[in-house]
Amino acid sequence: MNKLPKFITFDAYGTLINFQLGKATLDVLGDRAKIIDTDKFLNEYHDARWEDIFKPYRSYEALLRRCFGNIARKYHIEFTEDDVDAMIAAIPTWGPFPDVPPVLRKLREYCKIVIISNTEDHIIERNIENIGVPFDNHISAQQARAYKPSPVVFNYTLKKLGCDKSEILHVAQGFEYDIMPAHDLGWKAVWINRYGIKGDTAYGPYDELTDLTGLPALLGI
Amino acid sequence: MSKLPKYITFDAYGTLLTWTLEHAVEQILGDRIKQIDWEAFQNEWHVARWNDILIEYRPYETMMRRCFGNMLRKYGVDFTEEDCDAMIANITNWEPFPDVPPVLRKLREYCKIVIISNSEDRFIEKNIEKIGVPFDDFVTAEQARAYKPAHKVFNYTLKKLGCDKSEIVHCAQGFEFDIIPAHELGWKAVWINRGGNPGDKAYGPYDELPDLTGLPGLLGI
Repeated sequence: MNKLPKFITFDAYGTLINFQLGKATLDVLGDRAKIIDTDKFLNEYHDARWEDIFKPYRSYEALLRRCFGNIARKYHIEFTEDDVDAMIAAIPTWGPFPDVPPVLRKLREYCKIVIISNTEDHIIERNIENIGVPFDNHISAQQARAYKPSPVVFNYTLKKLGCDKSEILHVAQGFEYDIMPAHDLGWKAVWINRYGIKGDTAYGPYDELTDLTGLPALLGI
Repeated sequence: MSKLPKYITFDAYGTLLTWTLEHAVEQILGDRIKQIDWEAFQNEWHVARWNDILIEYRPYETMMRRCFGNMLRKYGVDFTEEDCDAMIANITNWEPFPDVPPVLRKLREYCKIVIISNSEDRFIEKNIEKIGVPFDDFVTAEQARAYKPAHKVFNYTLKKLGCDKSEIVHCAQGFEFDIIPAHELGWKAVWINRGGNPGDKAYGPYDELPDLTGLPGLLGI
């Protein structure tokens, strides 16, 4: 890339923020998790969230509550609203991966940095505080009233930032949530493949990095 | 009132729109309702919601789902997330009281009309469609990140409208949610006492009407 983008947009959970919903869920369940196949439970919970984000928009908390409730019932786990509250309360406490703050501090000397996250404002604002680096803007599912990978979110972003897609570089760990829609919409993208999974160049071109460390160099900074 | 206000602010649920949540839940629970003291359930549920809005802000759907879930568990009623979905879906089906649309149409020829609701934007927008009269603005708990009776909501309203409290008349059916904080903050208020409840002049001065029909007359229109 020989030209710096005006905006670098980042997915938050899993890209900048260490997303630990599985751990938070198991912490809440405690001994109740012993009677279930936790890997299977968490996979089903993940799949349920993926399905729910395509339904008419509801707030992230509401989406998590209903997905968790459905799966917990399916596994015959007794739970209370306090359990669900505790699981959700963990989200705004999550902080950044260690490579993130120094790279963001460097990037923001050259470009505007923005978060695009499948969450709610009152939650992501706390996550941003935890990152400890100020962002120029943030876009949430709450604002767009849709969840990535919906193009509604990406098009809302262009409108909110008042820019063209050619001025943006989108950086994300989620392949289905971010890289695929970026491809569909013709956004430049960098895949942060933190977990060393297999990509698919059919959804390219995209650059690939294992974490954020190499991003300034990729941009010629 | 000798001088027309610049803004008339209205509470929504119970003031402009019929609150039929309990009736909806009767349909949703069906035979399950026979196993419980439904009167006691409704009273406790109301108190639970009141208590919940006074704690840390959570979105309306979250607050409603958790209060409903807590109550159903307490009363030993089996339920699914679909039951909660149906309860939530009912909110946007509420109809305006018959006196509301003609009065609003008249008032908006003279003043700006605004809703202040303990709800989420995506719900209140549908409620406004149901009323069938355009509003000049609306303020929600989602925007203010607090629920009435918190003063935060009223102060947020002044900031959003860019006006002084002396330019507003607030009309509401809820005494604790609306009339008491209006008194505390020195807002002019009209209590729409649809339920024929005893008021409390200690929280006056306020005007009192049984529905919206007399409001234009009260304002000298």
